[in-house]
Amino acid sequence: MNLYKPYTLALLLLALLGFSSCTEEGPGETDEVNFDQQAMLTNIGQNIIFPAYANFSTTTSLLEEAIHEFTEQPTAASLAAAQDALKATYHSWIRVEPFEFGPAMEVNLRMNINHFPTDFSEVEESIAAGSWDLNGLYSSNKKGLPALDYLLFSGASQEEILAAYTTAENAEARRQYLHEVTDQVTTLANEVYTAWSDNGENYLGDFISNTGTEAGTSLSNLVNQFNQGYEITKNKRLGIPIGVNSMKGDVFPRATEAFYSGISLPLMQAHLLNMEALFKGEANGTDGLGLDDYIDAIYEAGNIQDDLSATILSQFQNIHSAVAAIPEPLPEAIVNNPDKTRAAYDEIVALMQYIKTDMPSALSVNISYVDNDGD
Amino acid sequence: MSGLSRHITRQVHIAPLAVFRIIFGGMMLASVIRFMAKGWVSQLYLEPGFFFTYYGFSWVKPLGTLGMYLVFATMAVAATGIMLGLFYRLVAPLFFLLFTYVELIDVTNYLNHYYFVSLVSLLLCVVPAHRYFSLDVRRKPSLRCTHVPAWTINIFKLQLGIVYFYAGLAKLNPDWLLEAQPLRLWLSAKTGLPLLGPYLDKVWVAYFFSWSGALYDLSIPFLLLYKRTRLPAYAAVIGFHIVTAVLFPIGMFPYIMILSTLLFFSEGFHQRLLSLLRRIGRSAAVPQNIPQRVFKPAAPRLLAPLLGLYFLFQLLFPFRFAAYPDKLFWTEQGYRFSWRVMLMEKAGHITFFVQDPATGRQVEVMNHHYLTPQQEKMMATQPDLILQFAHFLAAEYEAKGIEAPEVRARSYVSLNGRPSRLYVNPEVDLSKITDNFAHKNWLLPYEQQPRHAGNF
Repeated sequence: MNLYKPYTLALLLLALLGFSSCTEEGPGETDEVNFDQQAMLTNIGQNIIFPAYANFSTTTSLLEEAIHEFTEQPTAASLAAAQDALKATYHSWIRVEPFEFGPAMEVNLRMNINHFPTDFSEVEESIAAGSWDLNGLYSSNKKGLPALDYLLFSGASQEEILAAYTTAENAEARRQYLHEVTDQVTTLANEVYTAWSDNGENYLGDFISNTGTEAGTSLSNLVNQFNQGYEITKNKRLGIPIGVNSMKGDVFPRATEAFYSGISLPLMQAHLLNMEALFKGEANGTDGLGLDDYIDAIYEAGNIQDDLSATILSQFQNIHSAVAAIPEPLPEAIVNNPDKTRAAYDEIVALMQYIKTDMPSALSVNISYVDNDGD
Repeated sequence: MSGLSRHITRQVHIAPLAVFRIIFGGMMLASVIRFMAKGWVSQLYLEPGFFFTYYGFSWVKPLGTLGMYLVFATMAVAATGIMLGLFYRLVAPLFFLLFTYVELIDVTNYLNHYYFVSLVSLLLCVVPAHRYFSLDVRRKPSLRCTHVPAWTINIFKLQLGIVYFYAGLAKLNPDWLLEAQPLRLWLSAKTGLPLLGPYLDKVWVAYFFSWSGALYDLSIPFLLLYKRTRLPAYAAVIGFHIVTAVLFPIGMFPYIMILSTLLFFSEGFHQRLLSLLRRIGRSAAVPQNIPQRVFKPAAPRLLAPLLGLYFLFQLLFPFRFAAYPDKLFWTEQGYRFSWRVMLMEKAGHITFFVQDPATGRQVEVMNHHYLTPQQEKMMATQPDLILQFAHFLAAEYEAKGIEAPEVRARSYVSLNGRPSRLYVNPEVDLSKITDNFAHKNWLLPYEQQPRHAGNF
């Protein structure tokens, strides 16, 4: 018995060595995953997320100032300034949208800031009644950026919009409503920014140190919200407006984001570029450690068989060109160029397979948002 | 006494059975409390608007809020009853029924260890585990037995042995042994752990864990059976399950197994364990030198063939996959109820399209309008669930006034580090397919597929 022992051991070891050398013939070039998850979280947290919240907080403060000036002295100039400030806020929102976890999740940021399309009849009813509740359970469709978009941009001309705040019936209530919606956006933006900063709860520190892959870890939050954020574009920015959910084949151009200000298409483009940059860990044009590098390290260790990062990045290029082919403005293109909007939608859909299936598998993250037993 | 009857009819001391009852009841009590405390009763049984049922059990429906909480509260009471051996003949079947009822509500909650719990609680219904060291004995001293036929203990050893051995057999597949999948994916993500962490992203470590895991599962039942190997084997049990508990989110299962396998230890060990418990409980009424009393089963003629059938089923059912073509991990035909534990990394993404045949127009369905993220995730990789949901959608749109709506799906599945590929045949109208035990030829074959779905 004892005689065989060394032989079996040696055989086993040989077998193990044999198998590990086999893997080098496949995609694997390394014998381990050479990646520092915490370094990636540091890059994404410090160089991408935190500056995005800081920027969102700044633009909303500027928006608040502009709106206050406009409501105190509604002129053509103060209206134009408020409108520009809102457009800038929209663009800064795009950058924080994929991060609905931690402080943002606590205040339900997405629902409160950008639940679109807005229900303009509810907005008008509130103004006509002279009373409203912006904190109620069902208030998200009459507040946030979509409500501001309606309030500041709906009208045949600048004069008509201005008149609604000066000479029209309920002008005072309208000013007050605009004011309160803006204040809420600003307050929420500041709250979340503060929670991320070391003046507040220093969630940035938690984000960086919360390594691992289980539900609730930073990686799991990132990957899950990457998907959820991306699906906002797939479904709400494009899918629903072009009628993919309508059995009658109707299109809903008014359901696009920022319909009244007419920046739907630039926002969608910005969102998609932003998602790609997040995937690459890119901040201000500088490529840092991102999900792509993590996936590369996993690929190099032979843990996955295809070059997934390359596949995802090349699909992003297909998406960008398909979206760039849509003529401005988006709501009109939906009606007049359905082939172009459909083609863009199909390219956007084609990425789903990789980010919802291959990427979570490679990173060992569950797409499920909840803590649950497995077996 | 012949070999087989030695394991069935020989009189053995009841202590191991009593200890097993206490452990199992206690673990179940803890599990039920944990389940409720995590908010899973509401999350899994109250919030979803749609439930995936098991074949033949579509009549099982969740109760309302009050009903579900009452079920779980009663389950906790029943588990306590099992642990204490109080009204055991009532609470053991009660626990089995309630637990199994809850498991039958929604397939997406299926876990092998829930199945294991159902089976053990069923077996507990036919053994006199309450006739020693129990409140029933104190309540009614005539119940007390000191000896039982060996089968009352050995059925649990056999059941545990089957779980391990079949889990080991399931690991004997090319992905596990030759690719170290899915462990190389899962382990490399765990480098943040203390001690083991720095080694877990090494490929050889994944091979080591895969091979030693398979070896462990296949050998442990036998090593536990023999006295000479029992102690080191039990150390391996503890080590193995602690490692799995640290590495994977598998809840109570490791602890249930660690404590359950104590059953393999000797009568003397269990008697000492009970007297230790007595001393802790300061139970004054320790009956000394009680005359030996032997338990006689009420209906041995009925029980023997039933148990025989039960174990025949246990031994054969996991092999049903062999009757189907294509890769088991891909089709999952014969995957459940077979102790295939932590065996594959499979992720999917599925979109359904409902078409009005009258107009040719179709809609894309938003799964999340009907399903929780967990349900959606589980459905995306399991064909029978995909079919159930497709049928639900057909009924849903029929109710909206569309005559004979057609349901198709575009779905992708990634398996053990391979790139995702088309799963369900996108051409097939799923509303016309009936679920049965035949091969699901509406799935695309595992091998050689184009990566893209084409136009929708």
